[in-house]
Amino acid sequence: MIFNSLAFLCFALVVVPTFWALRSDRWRHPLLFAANFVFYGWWDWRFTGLLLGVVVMSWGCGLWVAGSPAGGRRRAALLWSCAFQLAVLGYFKYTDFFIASVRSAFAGFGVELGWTTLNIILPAGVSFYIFQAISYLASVSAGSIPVERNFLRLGVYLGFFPHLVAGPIIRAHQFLPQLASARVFDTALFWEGCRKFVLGFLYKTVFADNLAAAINPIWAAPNGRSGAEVFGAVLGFYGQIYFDFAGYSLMAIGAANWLGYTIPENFRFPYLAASVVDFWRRWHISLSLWLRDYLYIPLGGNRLGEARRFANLMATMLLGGLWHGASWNFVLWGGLHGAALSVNHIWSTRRERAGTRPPSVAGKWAGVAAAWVLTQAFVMACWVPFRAESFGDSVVIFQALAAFFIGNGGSAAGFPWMLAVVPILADTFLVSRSESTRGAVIRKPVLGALLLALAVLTAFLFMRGELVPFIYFQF
Amino acid sequence: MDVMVLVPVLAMLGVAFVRFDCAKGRGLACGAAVVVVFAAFLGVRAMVPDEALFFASEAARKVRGQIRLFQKAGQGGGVLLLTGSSVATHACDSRQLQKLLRENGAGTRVVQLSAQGANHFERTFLMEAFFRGLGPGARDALLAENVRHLDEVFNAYDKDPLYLMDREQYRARAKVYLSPDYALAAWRAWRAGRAPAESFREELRASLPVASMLADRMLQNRFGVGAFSDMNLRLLDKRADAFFPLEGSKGGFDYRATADAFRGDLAGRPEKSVPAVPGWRTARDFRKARTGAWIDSEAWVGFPAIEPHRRAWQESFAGVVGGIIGPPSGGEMEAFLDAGNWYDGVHPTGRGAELSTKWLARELLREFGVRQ
Repeated sequence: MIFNSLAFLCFALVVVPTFWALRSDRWRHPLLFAANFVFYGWWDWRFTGLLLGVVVMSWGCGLWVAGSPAGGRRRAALLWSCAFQLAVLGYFKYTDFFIASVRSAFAGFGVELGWTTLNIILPAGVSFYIFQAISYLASVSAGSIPVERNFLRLGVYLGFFPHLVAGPIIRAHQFLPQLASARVFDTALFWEGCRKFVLGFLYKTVFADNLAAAINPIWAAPNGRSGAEVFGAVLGFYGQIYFDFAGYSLMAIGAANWLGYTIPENFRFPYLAASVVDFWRRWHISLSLWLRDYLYIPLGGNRLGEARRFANLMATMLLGGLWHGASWNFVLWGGLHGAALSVNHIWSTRRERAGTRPPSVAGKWAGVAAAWVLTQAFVMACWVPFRAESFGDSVVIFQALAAFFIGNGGSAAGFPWMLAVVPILADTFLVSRSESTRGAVIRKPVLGALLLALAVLTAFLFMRGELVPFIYFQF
Repeated sequence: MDVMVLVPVLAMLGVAFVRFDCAKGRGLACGAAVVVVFAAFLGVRAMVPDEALFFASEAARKVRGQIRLFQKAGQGGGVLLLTGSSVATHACDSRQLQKLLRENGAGTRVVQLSAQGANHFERTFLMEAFFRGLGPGARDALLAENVRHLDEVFNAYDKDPLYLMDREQYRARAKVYLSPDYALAAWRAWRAGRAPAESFREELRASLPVASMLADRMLQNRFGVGAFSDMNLRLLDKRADAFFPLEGSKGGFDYRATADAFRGDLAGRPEKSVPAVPGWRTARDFRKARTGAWIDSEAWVGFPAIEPHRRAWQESFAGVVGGIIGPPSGGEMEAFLDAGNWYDGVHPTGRGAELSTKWLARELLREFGVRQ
């Protein structure tokens, strides 16, 4: 079930009022537990067993970790528990990739292994709920949260439908305490949820999906396309992936707010970033923080010297790339970002050490503008291997982009340049100011309802009729 | 893509900059406000014809193109409305047909309202949209003349009123014509056209996907979903032709084997099977209810096809319904039996379409000669 579907509307119209009609968590939690499985099973009921299995495993492992004496044995229990979780993820996500990679590596030496891929279907959201389970186990092991002995409550946390299939990845300490205290209907939070959901709906259905329709044919067959068309497709994807994923995250946060829960933000206008470090503080924040806390820091972080720091950064980003999908293209994307983060850190460190005198105001703005252009050009270029169907397609696209930038780009008649440019600029430079600006405060709920209804109707008119899956569902 | 993109951008800014500070819940009033906005929208929507709202759709562009051609063709001599699916789209060049008819003394103007994958409901919609689009003056002038309707006979659409709607591209465009009455009629035709299920569970399993698909498209139709998704006002005037000649042959199509099977079939056909067409009848009744007042006579056409089962259906259909032109006799089909005439067993190439159009012109002249 996806948020921008009629099925979800019906689902929400049943679940949300029923949730509030029930007086206590004694009944609310079973309702949410069941709702999570309906939501997940709508896509393919067979995988509800997998979700249930992960919940059971996490519950059991949590008790095991908490019951182990602190020190080496607890650490071992945690490592084994994480290994179980990663084995599930590895089987569903990476088995075929591993088989295909080994086979092609041997084929390079003229050895035919005769292995066939297993055509394993990737269950939606498995990367997200497995990461949440690991964060829960790590928190229990560290003693930052008590072990959750209530199976139902843990199931609600791991399978909470708003963020089940594409995040944000919620940490146990952010969500389990909310489940421990009874929810009280908060009108302001409910309205904020509606506002965020409608904003996300606009992002996804109007901007992301219309961009997808314009650029997908170009990405599917980049050969023989003009440089201008390819540049349009790259620019379009730059906007599409943001609107798609940020839209999903907003809808997830909004849906959680309807039920009285809060989920941390996942995007903070990443295309405002003027450095790669800043970009990762704004893009897919829940994953960045997860990678930092459960991979980068355990690897040693920046505590073991410069060289080790950069090696840790590279390892973290390469694995972060692989988390997105079983493909060398994602590894390349992660590697590029890892290298850029390292360069960014070296640059900042040297500048600090050099202690150059502060530039003039004009010089400062020129520097910020140049850094912004450079960062965003890099981010945009990195989306090429992320989106391209194959490594060969990435090469073709970079060749066409080179042709475009040396003035030999041809034309892109009919390409929706306005759609590719105006919404992303408006979001980056205007919507980003909405957080610091007071804006129009609506105190009459009826006015709010009118405004949101009009926005929804606008989205209806401008959206595409067919359902376009969220990009991050495949991860 | 033009300035229309600013509308959703403004909506985005509006929602982004607003903050709610509503301490007290007034659920009923808010619900009523939403209902009022949606009801007002639906009220305005009800006054806008589907083809005007979905102005960028293929159906709307096709109708605009045919209205333009019709207006250029002058007045008098009667009108022939041809509807059908991809077969008619690729087999009949309406301009050539009109020219041939005129050269032979029949001043009939031809309006080609066929579309790839168009089921009987979409065809009805195209006819309605054509009449609506003419405007009151031109429509009255047209109705004073003899208006004939010629509909394609094709087994897939005649047997299954919702044929191809399980494919995304056809399902997506169904929102243009599936207004509540069309959706209800489509549901009835689907129900009529299928054998009763053995159990309630079977019935539910079969009908639930169809019902939800029709309901979804009907809601999209009422809420104008995707009407402006192209965000391009220039499409307001964009027109599409209704005849598309095909070139070459479809991948995997074996002309020789199909032609041999066709010849063998002509030599010794087993007894004709009588088609059961309850779904088709329901769809036809609906069309008569919607467009009957504008149509003076209706007939069907079985275009040349070399797939034996297509032809068998056309012949059986003629036995059940009557009033069918074609399919061409075995002798007439000899002229069509050339690999260069066929894209696949049922769709002719551009060259085949020329032959097909000439054949249809001859048949129509004979028909008119009898009736005029």
